[in-house]
Amino acid sequence: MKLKKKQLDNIQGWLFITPPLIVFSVFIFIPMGVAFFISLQKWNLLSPMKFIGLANYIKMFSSDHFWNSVMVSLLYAAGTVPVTVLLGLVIAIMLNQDLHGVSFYRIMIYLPVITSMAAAAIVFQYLFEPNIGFFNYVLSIFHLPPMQWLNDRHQALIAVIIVGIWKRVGYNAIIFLAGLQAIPRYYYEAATIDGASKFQMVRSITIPLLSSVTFFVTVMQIIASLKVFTSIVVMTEGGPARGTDVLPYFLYKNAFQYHKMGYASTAAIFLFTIIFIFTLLQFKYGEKRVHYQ
Amino acid sequence: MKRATAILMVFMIFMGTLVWGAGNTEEGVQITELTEPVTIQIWYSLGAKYSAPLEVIIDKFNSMQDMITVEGVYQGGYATTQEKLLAAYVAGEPPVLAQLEQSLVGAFVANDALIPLDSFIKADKEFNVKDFNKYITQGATYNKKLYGLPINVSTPVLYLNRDLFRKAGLDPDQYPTTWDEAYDIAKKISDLGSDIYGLRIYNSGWIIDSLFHQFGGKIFNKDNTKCLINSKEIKDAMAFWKKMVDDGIAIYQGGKDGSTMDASGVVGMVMRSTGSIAWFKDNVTFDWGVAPFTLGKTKAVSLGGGNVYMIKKTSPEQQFAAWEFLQYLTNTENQVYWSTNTGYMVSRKSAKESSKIQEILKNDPRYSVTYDQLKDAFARPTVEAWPEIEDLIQEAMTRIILEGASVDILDQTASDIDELL
Repeated sequence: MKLKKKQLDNIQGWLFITPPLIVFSVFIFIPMGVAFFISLQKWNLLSPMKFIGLANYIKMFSSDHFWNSVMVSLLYAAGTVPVTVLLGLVIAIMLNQDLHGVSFYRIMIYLPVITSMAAAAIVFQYLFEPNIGFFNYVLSIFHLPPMQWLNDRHQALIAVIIVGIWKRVGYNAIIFLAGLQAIPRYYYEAATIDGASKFQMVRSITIPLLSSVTFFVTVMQIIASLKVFTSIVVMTEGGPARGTDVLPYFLYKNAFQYHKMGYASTAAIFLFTIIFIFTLLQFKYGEKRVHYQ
Repeated sequence: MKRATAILMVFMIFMGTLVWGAGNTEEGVQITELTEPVTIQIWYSLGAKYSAPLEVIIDKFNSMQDMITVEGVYQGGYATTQEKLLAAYVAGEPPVLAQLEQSLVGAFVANDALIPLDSFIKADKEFNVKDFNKYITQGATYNKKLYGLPINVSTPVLYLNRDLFRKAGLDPDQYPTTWDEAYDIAKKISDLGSDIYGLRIYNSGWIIDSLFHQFGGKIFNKDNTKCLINSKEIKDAMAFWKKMVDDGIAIYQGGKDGSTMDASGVVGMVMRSTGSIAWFKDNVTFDWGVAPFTLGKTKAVSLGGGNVYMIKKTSPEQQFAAWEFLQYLTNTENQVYWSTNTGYMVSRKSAKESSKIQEILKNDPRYSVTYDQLKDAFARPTVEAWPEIEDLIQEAMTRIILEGASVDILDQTASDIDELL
C-alpha cells in the first residue's frame, strides 16, 4: 500500500504526540472523565456507587456552604490578583536595570516561588501567632492594635492572602521581566531624545507594550488563586468557621474527610469549568493582543 | 476527537461496573500457625516523640522471632491516617493493623471493614481480655463486639500554670472542681494582665463533647439517630464559655493549634490530653500541674486517643501475624514502657499495678489524674458522618463565641446534622 505524503506526515505527527498523549490521558483526561462520571453518583468509597443523576449539582447549587466557598475563593482572588500583578510589575521594572548584583535580587525575589508551600505555611503559622508572632510585633511597633489573624474568620483570609502574595509575586515579576527585556531599547532611546520623563516612558512605552504579558500574568494569577490549597490546609483547614474555606479545600474536605466522592466531584467539575473559561480567554485573546512586532 | 470520547465512555462504563466493597466475607481465626514468614504493616498516627517508643516495641518484636516482620508506618495525624486507610482499603491493599482515633472509626464500622477480635481472644487461651480496664475498652466496643485493643488511650485533663496561680495569689494545689470555681480562678489569673488568660478553650471534638456532658447534654440520642446539640444543656454550656471569653478571662482559639500559646506561659489553665504530659515536659519552662477536668454538674470526660484495629481485605496469614503482634504490643511490659514514655494510660490492670507504674504514680501525681477520672469516662459516639458533624458544631461554636451569634443558631445546626444521620 502506498501512502501519500500527507498521510505519511499525519501518521508521523500522531506518533510524535503519542507519548505525551498517553501521559496526559492517564493523569489528566481520564481522571477528568471519571470525575464527571462520579459527580453523577452517590458514593462514599466504601459502599457501591449509586447513580443519582444531577442530584449532586442541585444540592450543591442550593448549598450555603458551597456559595460561601465560591465567595471565599473570589475574595481570595480579589485580594491576591491585583496586588501580585502590580507589585510584580513594579519589582520587574526595578530589576530590569543594569545594577551591580541585580541577579542576586532576582534570585531573592524568586525564592518564595520555589520554596515548598507546606514548609513556608508552617513558618507563617508561627509568624501569625497572635501573642508571640512577628506580624503582631510589627503592628505593635506602629502602635497598632494586635490582630487575631488565624483565629478570626475574616482576618484569617487576610493572612492567607498575604501568604499567597508572598508566594506568587516573584513568579509574576520574572514573567514581567522577560516581557520587559523583549521591548526594544531604541523606543526608550527615542523617547529620551524627545525629552520624555521616566514616568512618561513607563506609561507610554512599557505598559502598552507589556499588555500581552500583563494579560497572561493576570489570567495565570487568577487561575492560581482559584486553585490555592496548600497554605489553607496547613494554616487554617478552611476555618475558622469556614472563613478560608476556598473551593479546592471545600472539595477536598467533602471527598476525603466526609467521604462524599460524588458531591466533591461535582464541586471539582464546577471549579474546572471556571478555570477552563479563563484558560480559553487566555488562548483566544492572549495571542492577539501583542502590540509590537 | 470522537474516538477519544468513545474510549472515555468505555472506560467510564468499565469504572461503573466495578463494584467495590465485595471483599472477603470470612472473618476471625482462619489459621492456627504460620508456615512461611510474613510481613505486616501497622499504620500509626502519632509522630515526633510518640513514634519512638512504638518503633522500639516493633523492633523488639521483630528480633525475638523470625516468622513475622512488622513494619511501622507513620501516616500523619489522626485524620490523615483515617483518610489514607480508607483509600488503601478501597484500593484493596490495606495494612492489617491501624491505629484509629476514637471518633474516626464510624465509617469503618458502618461499612464492615474491621475484623472483630472476639474469635481471636476466644481461641487464644493465654490472652486474658479481662485484664483490660473496661472503661478503656468501651471505646473500641461496638455492637457488643470488641474491635480494637487500646494503645494510646487518654482523657482530657486540666493543665495548670502553677507560676501564674502563685502570681495571682492563688494556691496552685487548690485546683477548680466546678465550672464556677474555674471561672473565679481564671478571673483572678486574667487580672494579671491584658495578655494573660485564665483559661484557653478551643473546639476540638472530644473537649467540647466533655463540656457538653458536664453540663448534662449529649450530642446524639441513644441510637445516634437524632442530634441534640440544640438542647438547653448544650446551649447553656456554650453560653458559659462565651461568657468567659466575653469577660476577657478565657481565650478561645478558633484556629488550629494552641500549643505555641500554651508553651508561652500566658495561659493559666488549659485542657489537653493526658498524653500531652510528655509534650509539657519537653516544651514548657514554667511550673505546671495537672488537675481533673471533671468540672461539671455531671462528672464526665470523653475517652480520647486511639486503639489499634484489624482491617479486612487482608490474608489469614497477615491476620494471624497481626494478632500475634497486637498481643505483644498490648502486653503488660510494653504498656508500661509506652506509658512511661508518653503519659498515655496503661489499659491493663496488671500494668497499672506493676511496680514501675505504681512508683511513677506515687512520685509524680500528675500521671495519676487521668486514672482517677477514668471512672467518669464515656466513649465517643461512633457516627459515620462524624468528621462533617464535628465541623458543623465547631463552626457554630466559633460563630457563637467569637462573632456574637445567638446560641439559638444551634437549632439550625441540629437540623443540618439530622440530615447527615
